[in-house]
Amino acid sequence: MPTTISKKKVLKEWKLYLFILPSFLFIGLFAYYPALSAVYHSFFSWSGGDTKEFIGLDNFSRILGDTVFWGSFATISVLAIANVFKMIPSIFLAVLIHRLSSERWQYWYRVLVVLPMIVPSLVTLFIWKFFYDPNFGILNQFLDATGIKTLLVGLDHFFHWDIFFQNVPVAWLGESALVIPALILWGFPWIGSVSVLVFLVGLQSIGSQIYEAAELDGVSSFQKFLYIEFPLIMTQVRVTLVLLIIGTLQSYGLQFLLLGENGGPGGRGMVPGLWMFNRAFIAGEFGYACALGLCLFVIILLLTSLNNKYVRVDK
Amino acid sequence: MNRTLLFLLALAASLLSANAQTQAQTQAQTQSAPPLREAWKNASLFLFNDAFSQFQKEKTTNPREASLGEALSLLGIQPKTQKNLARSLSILTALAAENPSDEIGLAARFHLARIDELHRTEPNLPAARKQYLSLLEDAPASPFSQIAASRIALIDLHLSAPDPASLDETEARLRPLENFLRTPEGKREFHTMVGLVLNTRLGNPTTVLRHLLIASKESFSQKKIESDVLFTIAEIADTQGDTALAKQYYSRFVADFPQDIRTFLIKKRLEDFSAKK
Amino acid sequence: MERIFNAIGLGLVALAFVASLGRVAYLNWNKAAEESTKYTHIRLAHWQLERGIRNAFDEAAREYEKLHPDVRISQIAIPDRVYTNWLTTQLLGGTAPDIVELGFGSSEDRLAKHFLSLTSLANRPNPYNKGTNLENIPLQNTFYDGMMGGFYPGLMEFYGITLTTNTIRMFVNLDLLKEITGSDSIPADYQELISVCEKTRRFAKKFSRPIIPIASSRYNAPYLMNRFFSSQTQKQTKKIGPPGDFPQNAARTVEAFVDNAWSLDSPDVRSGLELMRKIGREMQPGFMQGTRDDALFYFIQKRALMITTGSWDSSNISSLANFRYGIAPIPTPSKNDPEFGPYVLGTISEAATISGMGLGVTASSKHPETAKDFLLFLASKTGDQRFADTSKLLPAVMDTTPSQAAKPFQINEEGYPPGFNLVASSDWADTSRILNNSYFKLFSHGGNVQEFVDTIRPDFLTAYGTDLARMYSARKRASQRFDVKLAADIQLLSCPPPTNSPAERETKTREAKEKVDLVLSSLNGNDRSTYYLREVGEKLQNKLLSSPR
Repeated sequence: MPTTISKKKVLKEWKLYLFILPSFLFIGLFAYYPALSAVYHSFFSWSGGDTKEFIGLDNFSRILGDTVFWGSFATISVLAIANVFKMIPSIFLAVLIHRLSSERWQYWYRVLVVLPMIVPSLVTLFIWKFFYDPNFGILNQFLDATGIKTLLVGLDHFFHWDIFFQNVPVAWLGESALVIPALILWGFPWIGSVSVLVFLVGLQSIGSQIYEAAELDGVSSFQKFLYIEFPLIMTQVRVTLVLLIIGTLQSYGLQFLLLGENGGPGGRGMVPGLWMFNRAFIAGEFGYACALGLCLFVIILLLTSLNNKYVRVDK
Repeated sequence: MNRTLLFLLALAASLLSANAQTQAQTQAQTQSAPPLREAWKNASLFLFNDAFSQFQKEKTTNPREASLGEALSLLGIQPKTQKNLARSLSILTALAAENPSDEIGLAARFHLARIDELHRTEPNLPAARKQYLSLLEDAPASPFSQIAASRIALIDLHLSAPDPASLDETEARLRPLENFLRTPEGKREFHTMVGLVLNTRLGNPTTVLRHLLIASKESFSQKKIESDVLFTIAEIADTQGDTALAKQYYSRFVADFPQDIRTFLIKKRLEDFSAKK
Repeated sequence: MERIFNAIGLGLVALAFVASLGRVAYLNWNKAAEESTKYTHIRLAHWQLERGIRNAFDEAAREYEKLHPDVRISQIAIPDRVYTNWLTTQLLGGTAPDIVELGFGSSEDRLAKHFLSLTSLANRPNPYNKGTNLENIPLQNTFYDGMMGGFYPGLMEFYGITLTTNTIRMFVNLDLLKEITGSDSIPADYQELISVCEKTRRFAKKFSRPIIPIASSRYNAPYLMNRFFSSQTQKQTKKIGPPGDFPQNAARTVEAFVDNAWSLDSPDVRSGLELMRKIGREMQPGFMQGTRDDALFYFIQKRALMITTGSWDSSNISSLANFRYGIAPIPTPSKNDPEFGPYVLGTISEAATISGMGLGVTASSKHPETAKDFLLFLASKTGDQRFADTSKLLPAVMDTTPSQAAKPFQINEEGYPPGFNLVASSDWADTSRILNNSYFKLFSHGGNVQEFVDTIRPDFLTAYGTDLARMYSARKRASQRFDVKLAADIQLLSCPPPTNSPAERETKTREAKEKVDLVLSSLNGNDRSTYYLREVGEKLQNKLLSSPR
């Protein structure tokens, strides 16, 4: 229960507030100032330099007819849905680690999961780009060595995809039909260090008496997961889901690095964030990009509040 | 600990003194120059905010010139707002009404026309044209009037562009303006404007040639424009079969612009002429 | 144990703090000592880390110091990745070096605020050219390109003096070429290029070696593709424009498209696209998603026989390649080419190449006149020759001789202007996007020209419209700024700068008059383009409204 502090006492200890002042200043300067500046500039025709002209809501009304922006939500929706499924391996691994009887081994597995976090995300992106290289990438070498490529060529003949050909390396990032699969495949086997740790925290908070009771009832290993573990880590799943949706909607680094500023073949990799980047740094329409960012912010806010309202966890 | 403190204090003191020294230097530099010169220099360097505050400070010593500077800086200050535009408009209108024929008044009238032509969200070209014409008729010798002539030409030809058949008629209507051209720069700009704009809109080549030939007699400050004028004259003359004129201008081009991307093409054409002889 | 670790950690932090404090104090001490000596110190900052270029700057500095014993010049080489941040900090802190390489971090706003205009230098003869054939020629006219690399159209001023020139060339791995063809001879024309590419593919297949004929990327490909495509539109360009409009103004190209003077089905356009496809098929699959580094990697790792890039990559290639390589111009089809010759006017000229490595003088410089003088020394005929000889870069000043290493990059002026391209430059963001998103239809194994055209056709005109509108808006803003500049420059004519020398006053007044004339001419030129862009834009919108989608 929170204790109440008298106003007099609050004012008496005013010096203490000086300690939090630097943090407030930094947050204001580096978090709120850029965000507020973006709100301000969204009402201007501004090309990033010194000159800008106030144009009211013109940028926002332009967004309504922006087919690329709204079209990019189709791509992001597919990626967001895929990302939800890509959470499964992390949950699975967390459960496996949790069920290890040796605490020592649990510790070492946790270390193994955390270790990749040291590798900068940019390096991971570059490595994956290298995997997709048509001529000497690992993916094509794997397909050739295992004979899957021949199978794909056969399927291509049958379905008339016009993508896979014998003796022609597969351009994973150079064919519009392969862009989304390549983006989904990225990060295989999709084990997120942070997600695993978050789920582990949830799993470790489950009392041992629950497991003991379940064992007395003769519950199988899978049933334990389905009826005990999964429902009890739903809070963590929900938090991860919210962060995942926000992250997916905001992110464009992967698409930018793998496909370039135009979203690659057929613009299939164009996501809202990348379109915002494209308008700002390629078309020089910084004011419009700010308006796009603001629009994206509202959408994310809406989705988060929907998620908070409807994805409830009954404990 | 005390030493560190002393060191830091000494460091801060030296920084402050260096700053004060720089400020004093800047002040001395500013004071030694005529008051409005620095403000105009800043306006010329697109530093409109600095210029604006300097003009405002000097309003008591030289009110008309400072007001003109203030109004023009307002046109440049970013972000561009309707409020600044209206304020600039009102200052310029007052300056023009106070004395329409002194240098400041003429400059104010020219910029009032420029506001109608360019600074409004939706331009009012007929209004701009009217003001340019009145400026030209009232004070043809002013440098602003000389610029106004080429502005009228551009507006008229632009308004006729959707109907190419009317271009000749428009050009004929512009000819009386030639009587107002007083300076070499004014002549060059007017004839270059009419010639190149007509040529781009696929106007009558003979008319284009007439204007560009007059322009080519003057000296050009923009070498790119001069090269375009010379090349266009030569090409039109070549198309019209006037080999002598074409050769004259092709040769002038090669001599004046040996490094241009068109020089080799022109040299080949000149070789063709020699071969035909 | 924990205490010991804590103590070690604290000790390390304290040590690092003391070390940095010491370093800063040492640097300041040195700087102070330097400033207190009898010498005038000039600092020059750039991002050219290659040894040749640094030696060239050093050599020039020592030569200058011989002529001016009271001057000492030092250079600061900052990696290009941090150059923008570094320069920003220095400029805002008022501690910027006297001379700075322009490019990264020197936007027009910054140039106006933190740099000195060099326009008056550009208009006067370079005193260091005395005794040469360039003696009485204004500085800007002693450059191949009129020193346009140092001219900033948005400010209508020269802010930089340039030193080098860059051209695009084809680099060929000679060891690999010999292995594949049995000869060292680099393809000299288009047919030879295609033949070598075919031999490379056969060689790769026969020996199961992952070698591709041409390494490329979305960075490198446009250089090659634009050159090949515009070779096919040369004749058409000359026909569709009014007399004198060659090379063509980009807005005219769009107007001609709106007027149906050319279309995506025109034979020359189709031929250009066919040519692009042929060349694109010789590059690695999906090259449009690759970066500049990817392409270089292919070439350096001997996985590609050739690469097309600028002379600026020459030093990288020279330091990384462990094989012999040759450099040659891009072999576009000649007039006599049986397949692509009919549309060609002739070899494309490189005369429009703009000089680079511009050096500017900062407004915070304590010795601006010495800094400017050193730049004049560098940009003199002998100065640029010396710089080019040591740096192995192509000189920018006229009548200089390139070094043996730079000879393959020499500008080829003997050629014709190029024809139009589907997209004039990267400024055409939306048209570029439409094309880039559809190139896979042109370059992929299953693609073809018809499919590519069918893909871009629905959005092509709209994209042209969006780009035109953006350009119109940018031009209009530039004119609005020039308006104030023009008025200011006219006012400045009536209050010349304070000086006691009548000759100096006369020179300054003349220069001020020239400046007004230059701004007036630019303003009118800019407005001519602005109005034309508006007309073409309106015409295009009318067509869009009248055409069924």
